[in-house]
Amino acid sequence: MLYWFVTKNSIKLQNALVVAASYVFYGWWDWRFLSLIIFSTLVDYTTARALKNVQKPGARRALLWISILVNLGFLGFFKYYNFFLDNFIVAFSFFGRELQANSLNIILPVGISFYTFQTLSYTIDVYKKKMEPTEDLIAFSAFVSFFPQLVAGPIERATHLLPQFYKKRSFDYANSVDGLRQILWGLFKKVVIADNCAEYANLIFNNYQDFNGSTLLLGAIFFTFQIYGDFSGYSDIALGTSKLFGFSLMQNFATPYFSRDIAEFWRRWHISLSTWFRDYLYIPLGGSRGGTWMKVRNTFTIFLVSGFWHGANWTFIVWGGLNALYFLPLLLLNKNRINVGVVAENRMLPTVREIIQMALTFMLAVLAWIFFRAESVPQAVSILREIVSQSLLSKPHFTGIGATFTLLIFIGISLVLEWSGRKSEHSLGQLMGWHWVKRWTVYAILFVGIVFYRQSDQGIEFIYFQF
Amino acid sequence: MNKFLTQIIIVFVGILVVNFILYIPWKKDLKRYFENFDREFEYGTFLFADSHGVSLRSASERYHVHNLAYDADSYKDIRRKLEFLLRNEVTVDTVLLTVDPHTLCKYRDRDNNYLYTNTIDQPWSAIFPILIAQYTTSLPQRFQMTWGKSDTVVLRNESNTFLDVSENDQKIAMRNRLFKQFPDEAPSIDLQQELLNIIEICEAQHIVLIGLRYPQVPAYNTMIGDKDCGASELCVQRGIPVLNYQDSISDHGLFENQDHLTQKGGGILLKKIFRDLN
Repeated sequence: MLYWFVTKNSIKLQNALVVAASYVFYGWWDWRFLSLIIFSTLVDYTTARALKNVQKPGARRALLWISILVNLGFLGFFKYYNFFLDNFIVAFSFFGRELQANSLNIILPVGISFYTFQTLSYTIDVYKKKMEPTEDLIAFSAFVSFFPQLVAGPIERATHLLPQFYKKRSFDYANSVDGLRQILWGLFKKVVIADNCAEYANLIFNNYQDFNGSTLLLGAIFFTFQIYGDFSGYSDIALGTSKLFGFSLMQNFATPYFSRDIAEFWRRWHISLSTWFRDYLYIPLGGSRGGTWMKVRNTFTIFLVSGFWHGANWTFIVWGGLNALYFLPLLLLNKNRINVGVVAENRMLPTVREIIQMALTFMLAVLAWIFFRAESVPQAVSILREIVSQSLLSKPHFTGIGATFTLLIFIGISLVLEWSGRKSEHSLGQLMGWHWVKRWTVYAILFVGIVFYRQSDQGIEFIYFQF
Repeated sequence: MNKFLTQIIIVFVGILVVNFILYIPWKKDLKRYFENFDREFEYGTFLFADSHGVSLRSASERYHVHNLAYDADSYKDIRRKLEFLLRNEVTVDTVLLTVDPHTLCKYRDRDNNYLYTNTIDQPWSAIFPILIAQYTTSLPQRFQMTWGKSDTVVLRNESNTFLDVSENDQKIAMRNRLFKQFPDEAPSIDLQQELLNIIEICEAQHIVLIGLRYPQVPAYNTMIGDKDCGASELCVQRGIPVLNYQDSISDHGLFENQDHLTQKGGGILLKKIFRDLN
């Protein structure tokens, strides 16, 4: 109301309101970490402006490195300090030297991995002269701290989002309705699919020693849906909320579990991070321009770094490495871009070949998620070992398996909606042209799910908040 | 904009209609919950606990104890109940209070609590059941139990005992319980404060306060080890006597699951408590 009625005639006021709302939103969690965002904002704002006035390549490079070191320094300290310390201690003890060092009790500021990458992209783009640095500190602060996507993305590019803070925004009915639909869809995926899948995935992963292969596989499949519902649900809520304020954020997920190969999966999963690594790491490293060795090196580099970005644990690094291994044959055979469009683009149903391709890709993703979810690499390995044993052929069983029926129905509903809406930005986008009875029936089903099948009043925190 | 706002209002009206439908059973449930302690009381001894105290209910009257234990009551619920009794001038001489290792753990502050007693401090929650996930999500299960078969994740069964559960399922149930109760041992600051509030109320009203630690099956006691969020320690520090029955019953046939007694087990425990108190 304040945004569209009181401040509608002034972009500056609207931006200031966005900054204030964003800081309150972030400070609500822990006000002390607001200083980090403000500092990061000021460093990149000042560095970028300085880059405009400095022409000497050496000085420009130095300015860029200041931004990189400050941003990655924060990230390194808060996220990776204890990881490196522990691994150094282990490495030294391997050579017979005992190191005495204390781990610090460091709280990871929510969203730090997301907003540091966002601000970094701005400075790099200014350095590469892809965009002019902004003079407007309020607009830049709003870009860095924009509350819908502040804590878990999508990681926006300055070239895409920042200009939207300069333009006059007017209320658009269709866009706002679509935003609400997207929020509803995101909420459904989070509280119905992800949180309920989490219950079973946690049960099975926490007691992995007691379950047979088929149950463990089922647990991994539950986690596969959990992480998708959790993260893509958040992205949908972020995109939908932004639409209500007249902003357009980049699409972060595009029905990744309907991918026909792993390369396609990575073009559809966490798109904002994948493209960030492509543009700011893979291409600067030479991309796929060099020889085979260079392609392999660069592919492994971005997948391993991407894994490490998720968290300071070897499980994430192995998860990244495993995805690189999946990707490698496609890259070497030059088949990594054969499935670029939407599956079954002009058909209602996929062909048998496409079903097999999707099922195989899905299973590869499931196996990789085991490393992502496990507490340690040995735990993931023993889960995998049990899955590939004979016990895979026995009946899955865990306490409460009968209660999964309703959840399976909701997963089925979401898959049908995702399939039929696979060409839209989000699954409820397709509802635009539907008869109002059908449209409201879908809303009612989702509403019933959210009211009667959510997990708890306090809710379960989004997985990606920890990254 | 007007069209958009009109549609938002229509959606809200729809939500209010659903809320009204939910309000009918909710009001009945509230009434049932409150009539357990909004009534005449004959004795001055009251037992407050979470689900661990529920199994003592049928035997409680025999020992002249009013058992106000309820499934997931936390110290906040208990403080509210105690204040409610005192406000209504009920004579309270003795309070038997749960001080189990898990009662101050953070999950107690997060899940399952305050469902009904919230309506004492936050009257709005009495008229908006749609906002209470703990309530709305229990409805499909109740519907299933009334109209069909239900297989719940919670391992509690009145007719069977922990003896009837396979060894593997016992192990899984215990480990899940451990994960739930003690993801870490840092206590909830809010619940710690609520426990102190209860102690202060009892001191101010000259009520005898006695802490109780309920029995658990031996294997679960071993699994828990010295994990404890500190309720009994806090009581001891404040000079409150604590009776520890954690290891007092080992027969699996007297337990519904790893940490809940059957009615029969509850009766045996009460006998032990009153033998010790006398």
